[in-house]
Amino acid sequence: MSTGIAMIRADLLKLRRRRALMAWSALLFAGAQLLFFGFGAVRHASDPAHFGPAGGTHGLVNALMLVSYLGGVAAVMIGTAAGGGDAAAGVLRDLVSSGRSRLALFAVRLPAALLVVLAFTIPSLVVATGGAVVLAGQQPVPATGALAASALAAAVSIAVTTLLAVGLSSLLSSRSIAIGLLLCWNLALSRVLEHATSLGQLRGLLPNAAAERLVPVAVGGAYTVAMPVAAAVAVLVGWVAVACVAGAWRTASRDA
Amino acid sequence: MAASRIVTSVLPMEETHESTVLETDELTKRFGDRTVVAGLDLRVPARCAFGLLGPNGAGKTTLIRMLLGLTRPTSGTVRLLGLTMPAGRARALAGVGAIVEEPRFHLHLTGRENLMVAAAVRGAPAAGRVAPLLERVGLADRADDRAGDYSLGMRQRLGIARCLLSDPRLLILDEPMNGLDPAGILEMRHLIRSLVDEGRTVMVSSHLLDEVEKTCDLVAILDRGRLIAQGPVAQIARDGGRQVLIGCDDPGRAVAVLRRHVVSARAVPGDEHLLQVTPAPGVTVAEVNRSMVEAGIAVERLEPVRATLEERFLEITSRLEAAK
Repeated sequence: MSTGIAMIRADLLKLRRRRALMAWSALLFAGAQLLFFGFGAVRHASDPAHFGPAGGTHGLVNALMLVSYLGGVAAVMIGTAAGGGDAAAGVLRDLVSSGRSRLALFAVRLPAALLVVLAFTIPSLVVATGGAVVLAGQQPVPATGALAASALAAAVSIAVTTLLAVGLSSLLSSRSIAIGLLLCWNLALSRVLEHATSLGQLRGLLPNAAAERLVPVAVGGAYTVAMPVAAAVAVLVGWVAVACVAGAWRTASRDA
Repeated sequence: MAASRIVTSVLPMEETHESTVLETDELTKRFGDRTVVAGLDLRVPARCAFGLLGPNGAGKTTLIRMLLGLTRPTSGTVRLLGLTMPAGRARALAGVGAIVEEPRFHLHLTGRENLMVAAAVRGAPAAGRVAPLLERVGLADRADDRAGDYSLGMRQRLGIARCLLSDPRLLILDEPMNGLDPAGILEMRHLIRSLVDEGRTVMVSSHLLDEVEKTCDLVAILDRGRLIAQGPVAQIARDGGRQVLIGCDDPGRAVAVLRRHVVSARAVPGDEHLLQVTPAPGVTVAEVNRSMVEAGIAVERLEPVRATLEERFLEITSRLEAAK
């Protein structure tokens, strides 16, 4: 096994052993989906005249929104744990004094965080898309292509959030500040800015606007900020690149 | 700690310069206007226990952090295992194990998992050393407990195990006796000596002078970032000058008689018949004795005082303090 893979496995171990973080992540990702569809199915079964089926396109949109918001919170927690965990535990100085490249120490955090987050994201998306189909009732079932594209868009959004969290928490000396900033940005500020029409096309630089562009119109409806898919991908890549470069620079230059 | 030793492969020192594992030239570190390490020229020979002594704020930890590349020197050079830093950083540090300040761990991981994480960055052979090292430092029975449940002494031992993962030629231990009970200190002393016996060099930073004296072969004394003494422990201690204890029936008259023959003479607290004197240069202890006998003073005891490193350390640092 190469040293790089061994280091990724070590970072995976550090994350997996955080039991509270893993439990909360499971709750926010898959638990929220199960609750959403379970509650919707019971409500529909008890009063079909007033409450529609839990699934269908409408159910899928709501389920993906839950993945994006609550899964995003979990992604921030996991990403910041991966990015700032060594420094917070005081272990970074030992890792640095091993002679291993500081850039390598930073780089292995990215796949480790992504793997952990995807381990939660994929089951939650399976529940979301499966629930949308199984619990569609009389409503039209979203097409397979739309389901797949919607799930992919949600996964990309979560992955971007994770990488931003790794980069920002590596940049800052405080994990809690990184969590606060990212949650504030993801859940409030970026949403407000996305709807601030006075900003015009500048809104296209927002990562949430770019991520929404990846969701098919058949599922997400009209885009708040219209832009080509290539531009949306470029925006997301740009955000990830800036965060990762900043995190790598700080890891390489800071006193350990 | 277990007496058993892991199979080691300490490499010969062919890469080092004249068997010196560490050399610094004019090494300086400033934080703003404050100079923490000032133009330090340090030489640490191979295969010895080297003590780094100094009062709080002397610059010991900052020096260690610069040696390990944890913080950048303001100026000066460092050669570690014959390699110039930072150009040879990766190769040099691969042969170094270190504990800086206190050993820190991921508290949610077990002792074994912490070593596995540390081994992952040190290359494949390190992973195979995890179990033997846990055995060596006496943590095999608690290896699968969370590090957060370990006592400070256990964490020190786990830190030593982590240091040894890369089978280092040089170990740098910052205050390794901190938090240890007397039995733990004794075990640590034996461990350090056993590491030296294996052909490694162990650099120990400590404020426990007695421990450094018992453990180390060579010592460097730092004060306010400056190297003020360096050499074999016995020589540093001896350089403080020779003293002699004199037991007699009339200490008051003895002081008057000896005035011409000694640099200082003072009563030893708690014993009214005992004096501690420092003979003047060129004056032998026999001459001191004869002077007293010829003056009719009954000399009951004449005993050379063995200078300790602690006394020498305090003498040097207090002298510097007085000179300011």
